Amino acid sequence: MPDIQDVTILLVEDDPGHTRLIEKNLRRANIKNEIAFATNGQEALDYLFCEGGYANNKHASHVLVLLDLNMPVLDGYQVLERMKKDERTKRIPVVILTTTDDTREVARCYELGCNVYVTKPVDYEQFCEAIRKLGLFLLVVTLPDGAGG
Amino acid sequence: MAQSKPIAQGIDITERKQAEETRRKSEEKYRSILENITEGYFENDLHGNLTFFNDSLVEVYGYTRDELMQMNYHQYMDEENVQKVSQAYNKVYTTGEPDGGIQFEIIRKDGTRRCLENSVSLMRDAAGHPVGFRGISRDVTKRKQIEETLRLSEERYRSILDIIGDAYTEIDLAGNMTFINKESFKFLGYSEAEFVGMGYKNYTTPENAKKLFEIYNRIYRTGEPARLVEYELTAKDGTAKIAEATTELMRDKSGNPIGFRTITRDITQKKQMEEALRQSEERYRTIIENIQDGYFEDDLAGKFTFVNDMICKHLGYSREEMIGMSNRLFQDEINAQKANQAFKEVYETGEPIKALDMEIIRKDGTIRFSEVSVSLMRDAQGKPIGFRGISRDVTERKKAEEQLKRYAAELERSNEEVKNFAYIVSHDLRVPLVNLKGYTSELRSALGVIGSNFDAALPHLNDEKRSAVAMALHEDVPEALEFITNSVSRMDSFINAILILARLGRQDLKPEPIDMNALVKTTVETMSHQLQERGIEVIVGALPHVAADRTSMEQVMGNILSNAVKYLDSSRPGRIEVTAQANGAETTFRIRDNGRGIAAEDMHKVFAPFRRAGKQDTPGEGMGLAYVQTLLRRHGGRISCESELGKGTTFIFTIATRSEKGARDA
Repeated sequence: MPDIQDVTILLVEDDPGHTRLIEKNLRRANIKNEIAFATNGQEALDYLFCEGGYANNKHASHVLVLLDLNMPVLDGYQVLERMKKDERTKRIPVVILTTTDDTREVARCYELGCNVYVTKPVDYEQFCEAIRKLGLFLLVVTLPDGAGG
Repeated sequence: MAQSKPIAQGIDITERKQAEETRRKSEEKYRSILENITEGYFENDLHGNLTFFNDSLVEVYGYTRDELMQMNYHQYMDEENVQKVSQAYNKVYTTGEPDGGIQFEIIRKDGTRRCLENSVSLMRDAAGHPVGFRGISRDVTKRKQIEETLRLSEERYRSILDIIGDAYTEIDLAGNMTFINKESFKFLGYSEAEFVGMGYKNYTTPENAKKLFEIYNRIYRTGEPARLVEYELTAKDGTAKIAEATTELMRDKSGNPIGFRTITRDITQKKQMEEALRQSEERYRTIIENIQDGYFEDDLAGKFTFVNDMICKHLGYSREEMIGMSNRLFQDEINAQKANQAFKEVYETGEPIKALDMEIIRKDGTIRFSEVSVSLMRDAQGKPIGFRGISRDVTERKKAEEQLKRYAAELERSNEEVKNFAYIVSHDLRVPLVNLKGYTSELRSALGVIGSNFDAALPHLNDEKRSAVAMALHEDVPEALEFITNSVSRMDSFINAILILARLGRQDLKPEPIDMNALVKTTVETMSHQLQERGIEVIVGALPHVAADRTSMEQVMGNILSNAVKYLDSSRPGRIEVTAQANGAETTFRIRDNGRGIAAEDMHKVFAPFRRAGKQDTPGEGMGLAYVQTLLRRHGGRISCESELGKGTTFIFTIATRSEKGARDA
């Protein structure tokens, strides 16, 4: 069982503003883990499978993915689908973090195998609160062995 | 009965001899006459016994001379003839006058009958006393037979004339009726008395009289009969009758013309029927030649026997080219097979086939679409003799239908795109909003950090700069941030509204039977606090059940009712009335208030998104009625609004009474 501090958080988000806000608020929530960034779905998969631009990287020992849905190249659904189909990545926890709160899309993500679905509130106070709670949640998460491929 | 006897008298023998010789010669002469005439000569005594007769009589009676001598007339006649003969003889006896024509029948020895005509006179002795009768008997049996034959023949012709349906007339050379049969006067409506002797000008118009005269004149001149000539006659009541007549010249024995005989047939009705038939035929021909559809007739082999102009035009062949042409020439194999199959079916079932889609190839090779109806053509006996049908060129319609289908598909697509667009836009717009809100907050807290450390920097600035910095820090920047924050909030609420509208257009509807009374009651109850506080009266009439999505109906009623409450006129007690009327497939609801009303120029904004009409003194985004309209449209319903400023507003919406399988997408 890995120590939560050893887990790398992969933040997949195409909007740089959101990326910064999420990162800031996670740090304020006392998350000290290493955070890796991907600006679209393809980059995320490359990171996870050490392919493309990440071909020479070493596999992170343990990963947790914060995944946006609406992104160029490959969207969040496609990333989720591929991760859950692949033996190497199917046990990696995925937190969907997106602006969409449509019930059908929430349902679809759970069907595809996401672990948590968090909507980004437009109101910033609520946004900060949501990320803070997510940080607290991450602190207590237990990851399965080998969740990093 | 002068049987001469020798009488002895004492006179000069020479003289006597001479006289005897003279008498003998005279007697010889009479005897010879009697024996040679073909008529019978007889003498009777007063009892009717034959006393003398010649051979001709013997021959007629069929008895021998000996048998006949002294035979009484009772013996060779039946009772009827005995009566007739005795009466006649009595008359001769009593009057002394001869009778030149007593006719009677005798029965000969062999039983056959003969007709005789006797001339009888009284026979007297020298003293003048009647002693018997003498007379000439003629055998008239043959003449009687001829007379009878003639009578029968005449009767036959007369009865023929009477029973034939045609008129038979004879006119003299002056044109007057001399003989007619019954049919003649019936035909023109005259009585027999009126008609006989009538001149032809009385039953023709002057114009026709002239024509008739010409006909008769020609017959007279040429001696040739005029056969089956048609002309018009005028009946007694003035109606025109059409006659078909055959007339020939009548001549006397020596061959001189004495008049005309005519057989006339009334063909008025036949002519009328022919005319009706001709008109009917003309009508159909006109229709067939003028319709925009092609008309054809085929024989049983499928070859054209008749075509109208339009079908020639459709196919691009001339009429001459088309007659006898088989469908294989203007149809490809598939369509020819389809046509043959259809024709076969019509032949076998006797039932027509309608609206069969066909592809045809014109003479110029272009392809047209046609819609063909075919039925079986039969002869008078009901035997199939071919096919007839209508072929409609539906090429343009087909094209239009295709076009329409494409348009519909495009519309569907673009409709879908618009819905998706609204959805996507409203989501994607949130992304920058999060940043705007987020970084404004970040900026505000950064400003707080700066502000709290600002005092330490103050001594290093002069008064002017100090106050400028303080102005920027405490007033300008917070004010700018405030505006940005408010604008972002407003934009956020707009986006949320669009998102809701987009979702209403996408969400699944679950139509179910709804008791609208209960639904409206619940809606009113949720507003009861507000209604009591403001003294608003809500009257709900008897509402029917409808088939609709429950949530949608709750939203529709909720929005309309809260709108009505929101825009009441505070100067009078509020009153809201909900009524409904089911009319067939639809139910119409009316929600009437006595509120402030909507100005005519604002009416177009009522159902538009983000538009609010009238005084803006109540909170809201102006989306309520836009949602209502979207929901009702998705239910196949519609909404309208009637309003008068200062009086009140009525919202009228309809919805399907019964549940249809699926509500259509708005």
